[in-house]
Amino acid sequence: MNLLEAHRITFERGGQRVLENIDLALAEGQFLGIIGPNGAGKTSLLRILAGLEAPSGGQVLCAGEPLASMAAARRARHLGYHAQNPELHWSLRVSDILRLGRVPHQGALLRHDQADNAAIARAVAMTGLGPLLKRRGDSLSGGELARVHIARLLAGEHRVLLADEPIANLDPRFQIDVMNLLRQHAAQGGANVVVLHDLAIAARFCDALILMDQGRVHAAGTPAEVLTSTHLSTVFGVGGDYWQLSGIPAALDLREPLEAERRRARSAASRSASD
Amino acid sequence: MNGSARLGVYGALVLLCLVLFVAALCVGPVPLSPFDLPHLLYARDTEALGLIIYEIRLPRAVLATLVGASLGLSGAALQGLTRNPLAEPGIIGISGCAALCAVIAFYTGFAALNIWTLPAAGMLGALGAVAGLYLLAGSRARIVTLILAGVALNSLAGALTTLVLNLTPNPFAAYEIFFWLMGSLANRSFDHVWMVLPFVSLGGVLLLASGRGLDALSLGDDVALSLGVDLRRLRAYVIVGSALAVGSVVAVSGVIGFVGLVVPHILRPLVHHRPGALLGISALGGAALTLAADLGTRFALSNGELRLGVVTALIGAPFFMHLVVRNRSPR
Repeated sequence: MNLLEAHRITFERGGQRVLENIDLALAEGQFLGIIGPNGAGKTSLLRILAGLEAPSGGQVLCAGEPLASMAAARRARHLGYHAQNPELHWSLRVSDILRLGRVPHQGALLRHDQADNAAIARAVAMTGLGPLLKRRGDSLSGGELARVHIARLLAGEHRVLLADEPIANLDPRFQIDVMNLLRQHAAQGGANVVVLHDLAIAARFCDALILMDQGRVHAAGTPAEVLTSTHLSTVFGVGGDYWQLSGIPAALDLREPLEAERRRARSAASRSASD
Repeated sequence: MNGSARLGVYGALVLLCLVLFVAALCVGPVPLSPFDLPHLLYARDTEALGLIIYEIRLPRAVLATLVGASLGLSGAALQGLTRNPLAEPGIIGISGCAALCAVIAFYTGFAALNIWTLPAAGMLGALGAVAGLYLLAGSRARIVTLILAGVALNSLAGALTTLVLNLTPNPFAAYEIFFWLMGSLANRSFDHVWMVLPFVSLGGVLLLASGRGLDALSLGDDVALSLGVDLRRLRAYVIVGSALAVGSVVAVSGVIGFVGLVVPHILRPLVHHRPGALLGISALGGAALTLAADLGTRFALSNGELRLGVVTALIGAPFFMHLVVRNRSPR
């Protein structure tokens, strides 16, 4: 069963058609990238997939169940969401921000138990935030804070992560780190839908891409199928030299070792699951 | 914050409230010794001292506690909901509309019918404010729209209150309204306490239950929603809870400003800025500040008492200016 499916999603806002007939299916282990120019409807699609907004037509299925009729807490455990410009009001400590990631797992009494602590500790270890735990969120640099938001997302231990430009504020090293973390999440039985602007990063890390333009899917498939010079010049209006300059060909070449690594990770995961 | 530090903050505030409460029973034109209190309270003395305790000072101290706790709690909750440190029950029109209806009750003479009419009018005003907010902003409004609707409602209530004062033919009635608007806890009885208690309790439960949602809201509406928080219910809890708690206390005490603004500000660092953890201690802090301010009213003027609302404003406004100046300098 697919972890997340969208069937003929349309969405209108203020009488304007924002999305039209979008279909997608996300299988376990899959890393799906959504790319496209500004205003193509990427964020609207991600918000609908996360259940933050109801589509005007069509429906989203979450592990086979209609998202619209799912209880909020169950939906929240299943789907994690990272906003395009993550907000932080009040100067909360990093450790308190991470605890918020566990809200979907806590009952009415807000008991913070061993499982919560363990999940937070894992997220901290993965993101290397240990030294920052006692710092105030508003005293961090933009890049550090972006990592805190990623760690909050990971601490939620959601099955599917929906992230809107999670690497926008990061320097190259942390961009790679975050993409690797997301890939690791997919390899361990999860799946991701990530909106990306960096096409070379999309080429290198995603299994499948959806190229959106004016609310429609312009092209969908593997990175090599979608990131062609023709598609990019049609949708982004850039010349053929952009394709070379963007680093996409090199990134696509990098994928072969990546696939091999992923196969290894998957067989390791299935081994540990059968143990 | 770990559990023991939090308990420490709670313990200190409870102790402070107790000390101020005892002081509220002892201080006045007839000074009493705290050591005589157990005897006086237990014996239910019908002599003068017993009357002073049971008819005057005890209901007044209990009301100060309820009024302060309501204002502090709802200030903290509204600040969490709007994510705006300037929010307080006054800003979204609840206090203003409650005061307007109370003033209308004075003007029409209904207030003189019996002691229940005035508080009923106040609560009617507060609930009217909530209805007005939802009508103006819609139930799915963004927070900014909600604040703007509140500000608009507040200005309207202020204008209509002035209009009523303007139309009052009898200068004594205008005087009465004017003094009532300044806020006071003098000459209140246990009837007033029983009257506000159910509404304050219900409102308090709604407000305290919104802690987790307010915490999640620190990460923005979308992330809070994605964490499973029901934003519409959270908004309803905070706004209706504030209307019940604040509307009822405004009706018996008049308008008492700044408590809901200042108390969460002072206490926020003690709970590491977590909006949910701030709720309970703001209730205690509000009670302490109001008890202290009400004590302050008794020390002043030779010809009667200062008004409580005047004292809280005299404490609150300079404090607020201090906050503005401190925040002006780069962090």
